[in-house]
Amino acid sequence: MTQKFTLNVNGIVHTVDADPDMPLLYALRDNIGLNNPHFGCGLAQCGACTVHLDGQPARSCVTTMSSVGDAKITTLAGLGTPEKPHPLQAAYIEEQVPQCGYCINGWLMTAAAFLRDRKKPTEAEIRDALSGLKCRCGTHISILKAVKRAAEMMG
Amino acid sequence: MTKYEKMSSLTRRSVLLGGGALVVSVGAGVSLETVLSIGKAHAQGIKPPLTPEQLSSYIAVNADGTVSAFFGKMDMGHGLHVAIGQIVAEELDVPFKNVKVIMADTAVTVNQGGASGSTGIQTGGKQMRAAAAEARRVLVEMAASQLSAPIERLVVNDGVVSAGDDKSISYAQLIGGKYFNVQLDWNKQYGNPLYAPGKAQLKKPSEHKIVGQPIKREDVAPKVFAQENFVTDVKVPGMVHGRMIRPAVAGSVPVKVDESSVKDIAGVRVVWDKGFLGVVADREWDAIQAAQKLKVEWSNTSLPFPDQSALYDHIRNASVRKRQIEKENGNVDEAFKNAAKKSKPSTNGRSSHTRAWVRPARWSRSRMGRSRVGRARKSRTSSNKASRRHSVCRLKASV
Repeated sequence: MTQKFTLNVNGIVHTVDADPDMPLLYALRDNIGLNNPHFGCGLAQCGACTVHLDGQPARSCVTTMSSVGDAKITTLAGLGTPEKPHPLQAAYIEEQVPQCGYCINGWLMTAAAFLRDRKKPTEAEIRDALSGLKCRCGTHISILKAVKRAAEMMG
Repeated sequence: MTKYEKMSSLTRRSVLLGGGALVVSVGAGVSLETVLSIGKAHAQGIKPPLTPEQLSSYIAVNADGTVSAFFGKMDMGHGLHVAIGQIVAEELDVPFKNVKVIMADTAVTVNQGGASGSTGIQTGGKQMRAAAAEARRVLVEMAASQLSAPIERLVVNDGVVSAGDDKSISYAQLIGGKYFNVQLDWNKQYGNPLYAPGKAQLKKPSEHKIVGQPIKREDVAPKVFAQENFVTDVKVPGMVHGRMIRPAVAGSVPVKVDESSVKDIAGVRVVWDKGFLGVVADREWDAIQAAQKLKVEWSNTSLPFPDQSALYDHIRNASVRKRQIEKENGNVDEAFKNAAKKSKPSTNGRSSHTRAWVRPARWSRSRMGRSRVGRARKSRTSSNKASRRHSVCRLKASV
């Protein structure tokens, strides 16, 4: 049986009829029509589906609708805009990070939460913070450079 | 300017339909066929046929002097539109920013093999380079006639042909908004092997000014700002979601499918055709649930593979299906007989997988030395040629 859920996504309130057991990912992609986040593995192992729930990274492919509550949801589209980019987005463009870019959502959302809480991180700390993410194109070194650049920009 | 055009904003057809584009035939020796084809193009208001031997199938100079490069392969995130744009701009002597790369639209590009095997530059780029060079040659020839100047005196800068004095003419003035009708020497192959050069000499790498420059990709920002649609993001009206249902073991096919097991999920349809089984539903989550719930009886439940504990025996006893020596250099038996030092290969009997020298020439021997074949080769120093032959044998024996 479906239920009515109210989701606050990037500051906009949406009402969604959905199965309480349905992962949030499908509400964001199919009901609300966002092209981010992405489905990668469906098992919380790759991170392509990452969103922020009240600022904390969450894997939306295993986050059920019933567990979202009234948490504020932020997706990649809510992180920054071309006019006002998040430092990570600016750094990603500067370093020309992605190859295909399918997984980009997970890295940016995870790194954004990490850099907000950890100023001037060491390389080891960055690697550790991003260890649960997968990029099959193998752009990891570029990702590392971009996160370091963004960390400098964020002071 | 966007480096690669979306299908909805293709310039070529709009230029064609709106501007009443002409086709011009240039270069020496206009054949009867060419004349007829120009006439046809005029009559129908279309360009020359989209065939691999037509220069217009790869390159067009638009009325505003920009260049359209019609590329019959697809980028998969490697930035091919930058590379192809550079290659075309280089050979044509136009600014990089003036080249638009239109990729893999089958209505306006020839079949250069789609996206496969990292062939975008090595085969796709090779053809675009040859086509761009031929376009430049033809344009310079046209300019020589227009400017009444010998070809040797002409130089091209940013799409403008100059005769060294005050006389100059731009590509746009020469052919802008019209199509080339120039025959290329097509090798009659489609896909990756397609190659259709003209008569032009390619630039030497030492002359390259645009190729080799680091140029930023224009698709990075849209990806970073979640403005780019991936295939999985595309939604069309009336679209349904599907999920495949696969057997737990290889070689198994569905024998019985109990559709009633998913009847409580509204709108689910089962698609079963011999070995193919899937479900479709209006909503993605419904399809996912149906794929999980559908009761299926499968033909096989045990793995059709040899027992893991007896794997090596299986490999040792397996018969050779094919043995083929493609090239023979030297004599293995002879080489072994005369070897200063002999050692046995480290394998447990016959190889179960491919072993061969697959080595670009630039790789060092020490790097290859890490592989088992490499080690074996090192010990047989008496004859590199002989061991190479041995490797080829092995490859073929294990395929």
